[in-house]
Amino acid sequence: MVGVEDRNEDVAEEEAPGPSSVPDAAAPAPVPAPSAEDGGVIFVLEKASLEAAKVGKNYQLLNCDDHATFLKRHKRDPALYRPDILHQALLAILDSTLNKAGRLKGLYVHTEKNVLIQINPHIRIPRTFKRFCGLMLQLLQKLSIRASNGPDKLMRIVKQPVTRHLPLGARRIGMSYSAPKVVQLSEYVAAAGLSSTYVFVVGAMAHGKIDVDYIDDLVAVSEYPLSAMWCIARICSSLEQQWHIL
Amino acid sequence: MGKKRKAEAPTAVVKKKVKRGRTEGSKDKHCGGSRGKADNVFETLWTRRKFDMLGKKEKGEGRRFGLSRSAAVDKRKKTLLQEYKQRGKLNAFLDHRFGEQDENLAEEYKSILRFQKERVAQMQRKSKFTLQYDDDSEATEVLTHRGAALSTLDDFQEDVSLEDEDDEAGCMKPPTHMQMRIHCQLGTEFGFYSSMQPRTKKEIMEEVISKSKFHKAQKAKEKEEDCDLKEKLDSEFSLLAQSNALQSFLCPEKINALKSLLAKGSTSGGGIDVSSLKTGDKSNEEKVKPDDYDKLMKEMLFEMRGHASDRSKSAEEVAKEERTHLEALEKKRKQRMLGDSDSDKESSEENCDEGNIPLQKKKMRNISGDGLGENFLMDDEYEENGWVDQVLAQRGEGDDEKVSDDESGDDEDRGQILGDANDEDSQDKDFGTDDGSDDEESAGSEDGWEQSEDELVELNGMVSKSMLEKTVLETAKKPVKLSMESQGSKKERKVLKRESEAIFKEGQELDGLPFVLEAPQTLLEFQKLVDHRSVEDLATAIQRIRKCNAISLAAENQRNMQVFYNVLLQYFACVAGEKSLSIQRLNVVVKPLIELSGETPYFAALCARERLVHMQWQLSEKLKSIGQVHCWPSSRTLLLIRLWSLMFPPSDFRHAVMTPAILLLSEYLLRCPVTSARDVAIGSFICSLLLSVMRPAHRFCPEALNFLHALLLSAVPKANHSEGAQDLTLVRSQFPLSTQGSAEVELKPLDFVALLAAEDASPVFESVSFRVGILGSVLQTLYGYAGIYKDLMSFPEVFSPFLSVLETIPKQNALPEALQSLITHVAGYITERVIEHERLRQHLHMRVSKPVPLKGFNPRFEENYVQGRNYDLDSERAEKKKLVWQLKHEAKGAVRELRKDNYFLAEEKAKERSLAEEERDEKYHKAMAFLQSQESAFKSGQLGKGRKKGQQ
Repeated sequence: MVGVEDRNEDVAEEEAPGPSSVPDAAAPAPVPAPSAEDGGVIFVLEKASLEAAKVGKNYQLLNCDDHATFLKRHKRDPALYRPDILHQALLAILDSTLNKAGRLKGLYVHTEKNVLIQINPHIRIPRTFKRFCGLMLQLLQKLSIRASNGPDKLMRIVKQPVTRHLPLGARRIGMSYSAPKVVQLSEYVAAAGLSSTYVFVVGAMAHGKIDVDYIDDLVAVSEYPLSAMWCIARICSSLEQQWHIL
Repeated sequence: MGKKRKAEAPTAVVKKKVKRGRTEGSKDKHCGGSRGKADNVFETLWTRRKFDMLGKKEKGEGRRFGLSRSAAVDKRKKTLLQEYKQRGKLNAFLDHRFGEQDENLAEEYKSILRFQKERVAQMQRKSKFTLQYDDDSEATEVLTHRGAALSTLDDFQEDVSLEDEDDEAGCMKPPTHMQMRIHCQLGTEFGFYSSMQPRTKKEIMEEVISKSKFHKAQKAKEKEEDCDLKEKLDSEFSLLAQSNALQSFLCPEKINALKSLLAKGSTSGGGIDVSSLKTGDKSNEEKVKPDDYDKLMKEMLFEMRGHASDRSKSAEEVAKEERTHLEALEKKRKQRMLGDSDSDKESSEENCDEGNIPLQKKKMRNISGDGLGENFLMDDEYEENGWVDQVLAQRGEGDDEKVSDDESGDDEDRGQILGDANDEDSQDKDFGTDDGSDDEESAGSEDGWEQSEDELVELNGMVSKSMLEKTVLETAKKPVKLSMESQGSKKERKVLKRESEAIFKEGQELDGLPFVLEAPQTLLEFQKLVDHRSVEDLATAIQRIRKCNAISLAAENQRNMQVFYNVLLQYFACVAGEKSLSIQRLNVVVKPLIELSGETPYFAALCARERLVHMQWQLSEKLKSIGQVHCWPSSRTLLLIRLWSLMFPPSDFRHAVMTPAILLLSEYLLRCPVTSARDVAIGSFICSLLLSVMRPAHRFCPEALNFLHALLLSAVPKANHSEGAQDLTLVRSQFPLSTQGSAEVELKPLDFVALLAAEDASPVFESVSFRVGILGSVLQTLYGYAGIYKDLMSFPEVFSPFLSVLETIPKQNALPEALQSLITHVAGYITERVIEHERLRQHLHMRVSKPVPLKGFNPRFEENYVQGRNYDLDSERAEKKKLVWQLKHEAKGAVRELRKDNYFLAEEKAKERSLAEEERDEKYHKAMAFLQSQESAFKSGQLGKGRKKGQQ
């Protein structure tokens, strides 16, 4: 926790627009100064609703459309079971030019049931929701998914907490409509410098807000509530702008 | 051994668990209690379920691994330990006494139980009734039939005695009471039982009565059903009749009848019928007359449902019809000519005609597009008065009119080079006899006739397109065609026309055009037929020849028409080559030529090619010869090529005729030196001709552009020529077009026909207006080319040379207002295009390799994944894999069990050993203590002799 607090201070310094260059120069760099090529982004999707259940004889990924009665029977709120949000968000991230350019350094999904999934940026997520459900179901049961044309593990369930997988010194930015600070994301990102690595924590849930303890800053990118996909699109576009990815 | 135990162990655990689940809620306490042991803290440990899955039914609540561990130890104590203890022994005592294994029972209770059991066994005395399963019991248990064993009876034994049968009947005889009652009930219907038993008379009568009653009831019921059905049908029919479905099939009077019928039916019909039917069946069937409904139905039955229409006529039939029609007309004409027209004959013919007229009219209506409408109308005209009379009368009044018409429409007529669409109009105008409707019909009929052949359709498309273009061109050229016709020349022409008309009149009077014409085989024949006739007669003659010798009529007509085509082409060439060019005649010939070339495409192409080869040869000969020879093509060549450009599709990439024709035209432009003003005119005409040919396919023609550039340059005074342009002009155009002081001259379109006819040295070419006109036409053509090539990538490079020239021309020359505006317009258009092209051009830049996107991998997963199922496609391999896994699994289990056994045994051994050691220690200590006490006693001298010795 001390580390986190320290980082918070750093962030505060960085955020001050005027003297930003001075503390950067003065600060002792524990890691060798990264070049512009090294900048990257890591996404953490919090509170994703990925839950497998035995419906009838088979296991299925619960979603509000197909399993409304099932969920009611088990006294759950169907409105909370929205794996389609995650699907959209993953598509938005993995199809972005940011990822094509290789700037996506990591992607983690933390589910409501407290499962942490690490996703390889090389994965091609199934385009249809049904196939996506099948994939996620198999992941939850087998704990890893391999590539069909390669030896790598494209998805796997990893140990908690997510902070053990995040690089040191990366800025962790949470996204929330309820955040007090509404920022112009491109400026906000530009202030942090060209070569830094960002961790964006975005909620992939239908209702509520992310409540995680590892973020440095909680910001809103719009004055309106955004869907996860749109939020990600904004992040991606501003980062692409910064890194001149066309 | 270990494996066996392992297999047993879990079942024991499960049993215990179940028992526990059933009995009490608090788990740990109970388990301790039930085992009768001191509480083992480890047995209270339970597995925790980490991941709750909705809808998954768990067996029990989890695993108590502490408990199962101690259970396993217990089990080993019972099995392995026992074996271990027995390891050195050869036999063992097995206690099978009742309750001996139960540890919970007290000894007293055990003995009580034993006693109880023995007593109960005695009291039951089951042995009294139990069958004795001895060896001889088989004999007693045999299925019998009447006391005899079944095995002794043969199934196929036929000699069954009669007595036996009697016996059987006797058995059947006394039926039970129940049976009797059932039979009585059935008997009325089936008479089954009655045959068996004689009945009383009363019974028989009752049966008869009941039968008749039953039949009556049945009849009544059937009748009622019939009535119901009829009513239902009636109501359905009225519904159907009211709906539109039935009415649409009927003619109106029938509908009325139907309606009246319905109205009647609704008021009285149905109810009465039903009631009458109900009263009695034999009532009034013979009385009932065929009512309205039946009549209507019968009428409808015989009504015709549809009519077959006449089929449309085929092309051959139409052609034949035309021919026969023409033949009939010819016959009539001959009669009239000879003057021996019998009145009765005519009248009979007339009658016949009248008889035919409605039929023909009908046909005309039917075939609409295919028929030749004008001919039918002409029929009527003939009957009114003679054709010649009418024509003569017409001419008398129409002469002056015609002249004035000609004057008014002169410019247009002259303006067309070979326009035949317009020509037709003018022809009609001149003729003046046909009504508008007639005209339309004829046009329609011709169209229809043309449509009958596929090739023609194509060609027609081409022709009409090119005609359209031509008209466009002409409108564009309007100002170019500077009318060379001064008032004087017009007068001359008028005089000429009158003369020719006089000749024509004579010819007409001499002999009318025959209706049936054989195809002329030589040019001479044709000329003899046609030369002295008017343009209109030429057209009709050609039309008649074509109709009489239509290819679809006879096989040899193909050849005839080919020859005729050649003749026609020769005629065209002749007329085109004449000194005084009669453009109207040419125009008349063009349309049939085009149509004929559609009929005989191969032959037409052959003719054209031969002529082209000849033209080229002529050109090369002329160019080879030294001295001033006029190289530029004659009017005949030009007009022929123009004709071919109409005949053949100019847009084809490679065409047997058009490609060489274009090449030839280009060669003219490229190689012929411009020596006179006439050459300039011809060159500019070739340029515009090339433009019209190139337009559909937007093909590039550098020769024409070069020539145009040279002409424009020649309009600039020599001194101001730029160096680059010098060489071109030096070679090409020695004729200066520079026009000084022509500001007051009007810009008029040039009359090309007149120019062609004019001599080289004629004053026309010297005039300023000619120069202005040529400049204007050049500019128009240039504008046309710029329009075609506006999409060309190299447009700026091709057309920017023109810009500088166009800039200098108005500076150097005093030009008329219209020409100046034309120049600025063309220059503006070109600059606009140039700027646009240059704006769209992209700079050259280095070839940059595109960044390589991140490689994507597809995840490997199943649509419906079920855990534990093997998704290997090769089932054998999957099976093998499964077995290997099982083996491994089992081996692991066995190893684990063995290890645990070893631990257990080691523990036991250690226990034994420690016990033995303890024992030994104890013994040792005992012995030592004894010895020590002995020794101490010995030393102290308290023992035996020593004491005595010591004392001694």
